[in-house]
Amino acid sequence: MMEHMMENMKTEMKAMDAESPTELGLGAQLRLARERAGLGRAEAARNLRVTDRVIERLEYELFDELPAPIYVRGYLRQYAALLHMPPEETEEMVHLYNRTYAERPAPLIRESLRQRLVDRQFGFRVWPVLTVLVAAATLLGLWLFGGQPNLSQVSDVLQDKPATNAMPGADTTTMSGSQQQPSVVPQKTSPPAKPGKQRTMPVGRDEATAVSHNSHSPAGQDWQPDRAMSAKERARDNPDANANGQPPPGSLSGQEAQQSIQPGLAASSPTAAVPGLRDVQFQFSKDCWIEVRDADGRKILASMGRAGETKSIHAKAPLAVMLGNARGVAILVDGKKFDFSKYLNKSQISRFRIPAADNP
Amino acid sequence: MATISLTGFFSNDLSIDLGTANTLVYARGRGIVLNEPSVVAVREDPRRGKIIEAVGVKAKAMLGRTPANITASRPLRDGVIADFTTAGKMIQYFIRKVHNNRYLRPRPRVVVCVPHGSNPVERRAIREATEAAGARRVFLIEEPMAAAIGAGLPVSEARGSMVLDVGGGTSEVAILSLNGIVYANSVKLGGDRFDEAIISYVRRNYSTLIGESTAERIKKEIGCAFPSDELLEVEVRGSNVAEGVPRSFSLNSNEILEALDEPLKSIVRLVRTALEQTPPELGADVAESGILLTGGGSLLRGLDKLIIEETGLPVIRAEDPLTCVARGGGRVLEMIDEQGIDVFTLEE
Repeated sequence: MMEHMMENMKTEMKAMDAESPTELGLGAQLRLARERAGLGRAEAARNLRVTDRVIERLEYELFDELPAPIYVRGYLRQYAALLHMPPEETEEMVHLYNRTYAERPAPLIRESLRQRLVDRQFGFRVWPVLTVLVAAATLLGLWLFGGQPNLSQVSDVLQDKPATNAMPGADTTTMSGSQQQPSVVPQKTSPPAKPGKQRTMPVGRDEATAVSHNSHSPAGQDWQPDRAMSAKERARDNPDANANGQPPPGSLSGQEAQQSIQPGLAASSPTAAVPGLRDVQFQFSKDCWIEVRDADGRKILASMGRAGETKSIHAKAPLAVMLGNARGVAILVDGKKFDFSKYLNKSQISRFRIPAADNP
Repeated sequence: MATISLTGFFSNDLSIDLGTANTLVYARGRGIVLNEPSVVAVREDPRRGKIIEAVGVKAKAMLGRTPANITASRPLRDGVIADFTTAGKMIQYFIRKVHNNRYLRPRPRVVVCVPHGSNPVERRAIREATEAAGARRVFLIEEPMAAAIGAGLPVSEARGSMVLDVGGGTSEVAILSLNGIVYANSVKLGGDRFDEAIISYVRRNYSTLIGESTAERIKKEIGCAFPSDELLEVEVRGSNVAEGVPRSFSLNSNEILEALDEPLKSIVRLVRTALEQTPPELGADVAESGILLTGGGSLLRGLDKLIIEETGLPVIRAEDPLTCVARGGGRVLEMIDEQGIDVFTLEE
C-alpha cells in the first residue's frame, strides 16, 4: 500500500510540475479539491457517512480495497458533490474510473443466427461435437486417400523387421534390376568417430532406432533422437506393423519379400554403390541447432551441435537441412565442402536441401 | 413440442419487470427493448364485447380523458395483478411487440420479476398470465435480487449487500449474500402512493382536485424527500372544489416535502427494521459499503440524503435505477445458461 501511495504521489508531483490538471489522476484531483475546499479527510468522511479509510483509498486510488465498483462510483459522485466539483468533471472522473479500474459491462449486441445456434440452442455441446466430427472426417480422409500403405511403406515395413538386412534408406519402389540392388546392405562409410564428439547417424529406420535405443553403442551415448517421434513415425509409416515392430502375420518376412520383389538381385554384390545415399558431415565452430530430414521426410537428426563437435550422417538424399546460427557450421558432403551461404538470412537461420547428386 | 422448440428458437429470451407503473422488457442480447406504462385501455363494443383499444404509452395518454365506452386502467396494483385478463393481454402485447414477427408466434423463455411480498396466489396469477401470453417457460425471481444483480452488486460473494428498491407500487428492502436473500421485507408503498399523497395535499390545502398524471408531473418536477438550498416551484391547474371551475396555482418543493412526509417515514421505517434484523456480520458489511437505491422512486430528489440522515450509513443511488430490475432478470437468464438453473432460487 505504501509503495502504491508513493507512486501516486510521484505521479501527482510530476503532473503538478507540468502544470496540467488533466494529467492528474482522479485521486489526486479529489485530494486537491478537498484541500482547496479547506476540508480535512476526517471531516469529509463524516459528511459522507463513510470511514476515513474510504476517503484515503479514494484519494490514493486503492480501489481494490474498496467495495464493488457500483459503490466506488457512488462514493466518487458523492465526494465530488461535497467538494462542489462541476458535474462534467465528476462524470469524467467516473468514466476514467470505469475505463481504468472497473469491469466493463458486456456489449449488448443483437445475436446472430450463428450465435444462437452455438450459444443457446446447443449450449456447450456444439464445439465438442464439431471437433469430433471434423477429426472423424479427417481420419476417414486419411484412411481413404492417404492412409493406404504404398510400396515404399511396404519396403519400410520389411526394413523394420529386426532379422532383415534390407538396405536402409533405399526406396525399393523405384528400383529396377539395373538401377538399384535392394539386397545390398551398405556398410557404414562415415569417418572414424571420436568418442563423444563425432557421431555417425544411421540412415535406415531400424538402425536409427537401434542406435537411439542402444545406449551401449558409442554413437548412441549422447545422441538422443526423439523416441516418441520415432515411434509415432514408425506407427504412421507402418500401419500394418504391430507394436513390436513385427510385420503382420500375413505379410512376408523381409528377406522373402525382397526376394519376391527382386529375386534375381538377392545375391548381388554388397559393395555396390547406392545412388542417393550421401555422407554428410557437420562441423560446428559455434553452438548451433540442426535438423535434418531425409528424402522420405523422416527426421534423422534433430539436436544441438556444440562448438568443436562434428556430426556425420549417411542418409538418402535429397536431405532437408535446417540450421540455426548457420554461420557456425561447415558442411562436407561426400568429403567436399558444401556451400550454403546463399541460403543464409539475417536471422542466421538457414533452410536448404542437399541434392541427391552434385550438379555436373 | 417440436413446434414449441422451433418457435422458441426464433424468439429472444426475455426478462420482464412487470411494474405497477411501468413495464420494462429486456431481451437477451439486445438490452432494454421496451419501457412503457403498465396501462391498458379497453373499449366496450356492443357487438364484439371488450376490445383492447391501446396499451402502454397510448393508453396512458388516455388516463382520465376517456369517454364512457373506453376504460383506461392499470391492471397491476401494489406490484401484483389486479385484473388478470387485462394483464395477460398486456403481457402478450408486449411480447409480440418485442419480437415483431408476423409469421411465428414467439415462444420465449421469460424471467418475470415479482415483489418479495407477493403471495403464492399472486405469483400463480403472474405465471399464468405470462404463459397465456406465449411464454414456453416462466421463471419467477424476486425483485430485490434482480435489482441487486442489475445494479452490479456482488451478490455471489460472501459479503452482505443491501438494496432498497422503491417501485411504483411497492418498496422492498433486502440483504443479500451468496446469491440468496438473507432478509427481505416489502411494503405496498411506492411512487403511486407519493402521487396520492400529493393529490390529497392539494385537495386539503388548496381545495382543488388534480389527476394522477398531474400529481406525477409535480412529483417529477419539484418532488423532494429532503430539504435543499434550492426552492423549486411549479404551476398547477386543477378543478376547484368550492367554485367548481378550473383554477391554477403554484406549488413549491417544500410543500411537496410536507405532502410526502408520511410515505417517506414508512420507507425509512422499512430500512431501519431491516438493519435491526440483519445478522451482525452482514450488518458490518452494509455499514462499510452502504445501501444501494434502485427503482423509479429512488429518483425522488434527496431520498438518498434522507436515508443517510436517518440511518447514518452511506447511501448510493444506482446508475439507471429504473431499469435495474429488468437488466438483473436478463443477467439471470444468462447465468442460468452459463451455470445452470440452480445458481439462484428460482420458481419454475
